[in-house]
Amino acid sequence: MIKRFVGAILACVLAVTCVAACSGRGDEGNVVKPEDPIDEPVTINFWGWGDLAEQENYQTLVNQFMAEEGNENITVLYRGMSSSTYMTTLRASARNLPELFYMPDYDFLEWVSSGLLKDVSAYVTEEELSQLWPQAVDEYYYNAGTATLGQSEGASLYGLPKDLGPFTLVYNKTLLDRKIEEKGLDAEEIYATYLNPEVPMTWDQFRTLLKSLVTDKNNDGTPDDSIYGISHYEIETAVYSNNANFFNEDASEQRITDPNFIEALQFVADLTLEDHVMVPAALQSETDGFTRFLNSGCIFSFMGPWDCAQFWGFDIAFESNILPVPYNGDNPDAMSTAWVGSMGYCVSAKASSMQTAAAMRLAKYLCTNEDAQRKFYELGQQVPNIVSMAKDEYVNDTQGLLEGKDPVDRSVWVDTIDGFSEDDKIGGKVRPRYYTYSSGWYDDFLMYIDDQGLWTGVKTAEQICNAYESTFQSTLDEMIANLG
Amino acid sequence: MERTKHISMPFGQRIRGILLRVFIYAVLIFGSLFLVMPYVWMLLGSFKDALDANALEFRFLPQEWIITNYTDLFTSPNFPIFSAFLNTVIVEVSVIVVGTFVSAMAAFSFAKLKLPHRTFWLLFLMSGMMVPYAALMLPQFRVFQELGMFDTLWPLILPGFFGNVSMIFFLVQYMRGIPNAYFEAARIDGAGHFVCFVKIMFPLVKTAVAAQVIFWFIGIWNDYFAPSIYLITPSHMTLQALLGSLNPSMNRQYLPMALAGAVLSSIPMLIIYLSCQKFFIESLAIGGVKG
Amino acid sequence: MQSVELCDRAAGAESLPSREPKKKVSKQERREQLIAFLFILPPIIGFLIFTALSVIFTVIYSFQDYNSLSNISTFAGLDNYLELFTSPTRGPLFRKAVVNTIVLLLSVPFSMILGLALAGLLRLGEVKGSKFFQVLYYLPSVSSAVALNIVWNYIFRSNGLFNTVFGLDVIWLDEGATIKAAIIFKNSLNAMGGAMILYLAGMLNVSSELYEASSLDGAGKLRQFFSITLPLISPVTFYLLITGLIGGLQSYADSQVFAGGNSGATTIVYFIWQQGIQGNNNQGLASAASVLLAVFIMIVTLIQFKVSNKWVYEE
Repeated sequence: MIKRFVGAILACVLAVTCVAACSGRGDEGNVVKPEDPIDEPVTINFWGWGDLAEQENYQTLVNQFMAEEGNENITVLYRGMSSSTYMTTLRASARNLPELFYMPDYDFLEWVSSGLLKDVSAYVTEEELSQLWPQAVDEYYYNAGTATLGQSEGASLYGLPKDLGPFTLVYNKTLLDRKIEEKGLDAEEIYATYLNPEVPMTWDQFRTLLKSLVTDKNNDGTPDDSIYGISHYEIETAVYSNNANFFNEDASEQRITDPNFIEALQFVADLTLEDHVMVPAALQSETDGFTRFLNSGCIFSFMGPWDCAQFWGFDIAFESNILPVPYNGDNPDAMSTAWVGSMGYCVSAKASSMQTAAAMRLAKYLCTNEDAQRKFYELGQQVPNIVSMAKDEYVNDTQGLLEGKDPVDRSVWVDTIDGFSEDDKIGGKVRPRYYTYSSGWYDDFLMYIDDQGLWTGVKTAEQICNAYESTFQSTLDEMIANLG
Repeated sequence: MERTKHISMPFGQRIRGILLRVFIYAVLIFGSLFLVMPYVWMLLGSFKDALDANALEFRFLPQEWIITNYTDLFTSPNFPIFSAFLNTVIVEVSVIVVGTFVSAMAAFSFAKLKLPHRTFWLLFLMSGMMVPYAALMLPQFRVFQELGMFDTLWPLILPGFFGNVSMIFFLVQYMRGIPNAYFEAARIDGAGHFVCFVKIMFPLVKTAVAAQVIFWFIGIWNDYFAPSIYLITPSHMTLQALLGSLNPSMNRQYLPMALAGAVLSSIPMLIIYLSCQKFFIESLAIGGVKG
Repeated sequence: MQSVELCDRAAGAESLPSREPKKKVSKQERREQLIAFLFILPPIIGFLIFTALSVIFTVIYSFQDYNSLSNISTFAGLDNYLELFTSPTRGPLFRKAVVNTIVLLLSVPFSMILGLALAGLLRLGEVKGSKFFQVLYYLPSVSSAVALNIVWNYIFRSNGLFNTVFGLDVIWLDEGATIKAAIIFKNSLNAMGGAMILYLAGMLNVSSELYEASSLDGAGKLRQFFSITLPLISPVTFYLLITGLIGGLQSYADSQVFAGGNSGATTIVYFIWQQGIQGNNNQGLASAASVLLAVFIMIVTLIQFKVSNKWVYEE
């Protein structure tokens, strides 16, 4: 017995001292080409997140993949989790990663620069990549030599995009129509001027619309019938739609003191402070915007394609539709720019070449197979990755899979992904956190402006941003140092 | 106060006595309402659907009574309450069986054997009670990860195998009160210390041990922090970790299911508590007054 | 100090079975000493691994920067400690956590006062269903903190049961003082039962002769309570205070489950979890915070024991 105890102590001491030293790597040498047969048994653990329906769908697709491959050597073990615990779990498993896993865009840089993701360039062909949204593929390129993101000379591919998710404006049509009637407004005019899926509203138009729908006669900050105009406002969206950003291109210099940036923050704050049409911060922290929207507590909110599943799953008693996000009409350079989130299918750096080959076959199946992509949009989880499919089949519902399902104007999402063109002021951009080594700074920033009282009007955006400038710059410097 | 019953009192004083009692009962019942309210609310909420529970206006009763929150807990692979129950029982049984034996043995040594530097060793052990778990957690977390025990029940079970200091402390006091005469005959017959402990001491302190075991049992049942950091696979979780993964502060839509989980995970505890209530209150009172 | 004293008493206990004088250590005696030591060996080993060694490594970690992704530790000197106080981003988080933790400790005296009042009422009225009330009031203490937090969060929503019953329009789950008030309220309520039972037991231990003597002196019930009962049950007060403070300083579920990480209710342990475990990749900083917490708890405990002989009654 004593021996065992002593053994246990030794094991613990050993393990602790080991922590600093060991970090293994898989075999780097030979690459199993995409067309090579997989002739030895491999097991692929695959981790992802999503609600229950999404997880079920993944299991089905994984089974389908194994059946279609018809290769007895490949076994895939899928594990779905809830999104709130996923990253904590993945991080805690950093030394023992599954072979294939989701990697959200905002954490990609930290993981790829830490050498935890496998270079998968050799496992996909140009042709396979060319059918996907180019901006989605581009997000998963990284140049280890220069520590830069995106396609460049010497950059390699470290993952395949799971999706591209534009987060745009959504409105409760039933509630809106009721409000229009209540206030005696001209429905036709409102739909034509403000709620046009092809022409985004300006901020002024949006405020005018909200103020005409939501009134606060006693001026106490709460609308007359406690139904707000909008649940909350996406900060990144406001900033992007005023042609501003948190930092410059390589995230080395802060830009929060840029007047456009400040104007965007103040615009968001004023929706509550001046117009009384947005849910105050205190109530926002109590009930999230989406829950409020689902319960008809506000007319507008934001949503991404993945939210559809929830809409359809619940017995929602209202119609809804989506719109491009508003932009600042007074700024000639500003365009309607929503943030577009993404997630990658990444392979563990420790995976053997055979495992990588098998994992990538699965990733490609999920990412580029038409049936799989069709299943995803049918279940309300994403806009198809395949450009041609998204632009026609998805938008026009040529397969009749989305009949009677909101939102009707899915073109808004596709336009947002597709980016700006000459006659199209609707576009999207990846969230700023993607460009930085770690993503905690964004929460820090939100907490700071909240603490300083931007949402309650204690201080203006200008005061707050100027006071935070040096702190933010040193955070950026630190992150760059971590990366280098 | 004892005498008031027997001595006949003037009318006014009796009225005052009655009023006093009415007042006291009113206070106690008012307080009880507060204490019962969460449980009632838990139960009611568990029969609502997610939209109903999150409605923006106040709703007391479910609009429609549904039981899917309960059935989902038994069928969903994400929130498998049955395996969580089993895992909790595995931790409970292994920790308590081994840990209690180890603790009682140590207490026996402290109380009845010639242990050199006994004060030092007891203080040594008790000094650990002051150290917050947070100050121990990170190294243990890394070691358990290295040992491949992350996401298993081992990090919850292993520390328990080495006994429980507060149990040792209470048992030492209890055992000291047991006369040595019990052991002397056995010692003369040539019984070893271990035999003395197992055959004589342990049966004598059974009740004291049981009291400690019951509090330990509840402690483990309701333990949340360690399970929540070590267990990530739903089927590996204990009840509390599973409940935590349903945390509606993170995801509003889980609320009714979380409430259903709260109801289900409380039932075994309630049964144990109510069936041993007297034991509970007495042990608690003794522990507190002595401690 | 109470614990030391108890140990001394334990040390003075009669040992069995050898009655030889101490000077000569016989073979048999040495054997018994060895066996005695073997009996306490498992807890000692457990202590060494799971407490002593862990604490040492926490201290070591607090002087390191650790990257959990690349698994590399580098020496950081006092940086982590400085960062807790001076970092423009982590500093305010830590400061908030400290303030919140201390404010939330208010539930300890509140629950004690409530428990004492209830115990006094039960004793005064010789309540018939005393046991019933005791069982009921103690219920939250045996219930799961997670379950209770989930339902209390539900109760405290602005459209929830609490506001409705009391006709209030308060946003309890806001980031400011209200969420702390809500936590203090529910924790006081949950802990008062335990305090009540202990106080009641303490009161029943006070001999009735003392009361009789003082009523002969013409002391009223209220005066008796303050001059006799309260001083005599001070050991219970001491016990409740010390366990309440040690427990309160380590509170975590309130921040994580009830408040969902709301910055108005983050505690030190929540901060440690957030920095060290949740994914902020800041184990060095978390370790520094836990070292400070451990030191703080030790100081609080030692002060209490030091001051206790001034006001805690001892038989």
